[in-house]
Amino acid sequence: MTALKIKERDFTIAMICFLQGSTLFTIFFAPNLKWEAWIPALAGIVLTLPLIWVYSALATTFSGKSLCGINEIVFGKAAGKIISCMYIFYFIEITVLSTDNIGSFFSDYIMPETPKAVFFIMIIVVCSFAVRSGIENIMKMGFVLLAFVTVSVVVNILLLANKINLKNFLPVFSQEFIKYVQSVHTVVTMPFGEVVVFLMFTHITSGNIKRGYLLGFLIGALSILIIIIRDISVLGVAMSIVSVPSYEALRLIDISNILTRIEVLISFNMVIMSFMKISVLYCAIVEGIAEVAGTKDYKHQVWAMGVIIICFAVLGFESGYQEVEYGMSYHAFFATPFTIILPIATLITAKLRRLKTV
Amino acid sequence: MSTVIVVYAFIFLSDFMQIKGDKNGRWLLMLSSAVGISVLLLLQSDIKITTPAVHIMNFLEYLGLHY
Repeated sequence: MTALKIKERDFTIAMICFLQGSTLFTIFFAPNLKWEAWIPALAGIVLTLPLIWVYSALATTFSGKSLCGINEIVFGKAAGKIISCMYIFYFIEITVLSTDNIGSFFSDYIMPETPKAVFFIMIIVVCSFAVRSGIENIMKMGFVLLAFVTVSVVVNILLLANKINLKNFLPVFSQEFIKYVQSVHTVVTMPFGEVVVFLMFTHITSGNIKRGYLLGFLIGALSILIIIIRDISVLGVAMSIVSVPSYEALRLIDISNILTRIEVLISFNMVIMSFMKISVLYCAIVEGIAEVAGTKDYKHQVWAMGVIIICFAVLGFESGYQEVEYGMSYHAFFATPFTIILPIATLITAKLRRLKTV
Repeated sequence: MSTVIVVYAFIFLSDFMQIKGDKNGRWLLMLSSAVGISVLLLLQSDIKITTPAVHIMNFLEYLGLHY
């Protein structure tokens, strides 16, 4: 019997933080639809709900098993290990992408003269310490971090109230149909579908997993939608030409020339939520590798994996344009098998073979 | 870079010595450390390597799977 170390509440809050850590990814679908970026976000929430049902059905059908364990039961030992290795590679890729995003944000906006590698090393070292302390402790932290970020977002919206212009949302549905398809596909696979990573921890979570998954996803996804709506209402068409819309929106805060230039506060939110996201992914990577290799403890692999993540992040893309192009046009196709096809195939195979764990 | 590799070697040794009675764990640590050191050395060399995402992008381009 596996010890249930994570409470349902912590699991839900960690998922909200994880999704909020993806706000930098809006750059991968906002330029396509400009002021209509809220449409794919809303459609993405609706279309991801069935996927959330699939993930939670897998977790409840195979209670006591992680994603790697589920793969081995459903597809057999050899094929299960191969699929688990593919998932680990997918998790490494999105960890590197998230690290690259937050490092690039700091390097481009906050400290332009500092090399990106410094930020990558600092982020991964902090996350490594967190991962070594265990996923249950990372998830327990979520409550405090989420409270801070929620207060910050609410205050930001109130301070921006005089800049909000509802005409910025018009006209609606003025782009080509394929752009909506592309953006919705990107949103479903990129920030929302990434919650598949939580299947690595459902076996050690107590309480109602289905409720935890659904609530965590809905609150997290709606918070992203609120942030996008805030940014569009303030920036309008400029939403499509800025790299970090939230940062640019907060630049406009000006209360009687007294309260100005507080955009740097957004960097706190971004670093906090990115820390949560990278830590959860990092933990899933090392736990997955340990499970596939059949080792007793994953903690010894943490630093070695950290070096690999830093190296891949340092290698990076040739330019910011190439990164945006990858996120907008390619990543959705890469992530689709892991977020949509494999979980559905696993659930169907399990139902057909009447597999489950007690 | 040599400083980084020396620090990494100390971390590896400390982790390696802590693993007791877990053969798979030791092999896995050696393998992941070897990969880490190799990538670190490649970063310093003249050989042009890129992040996995660029390879994924080229592969998807080859398959015609992109918008």
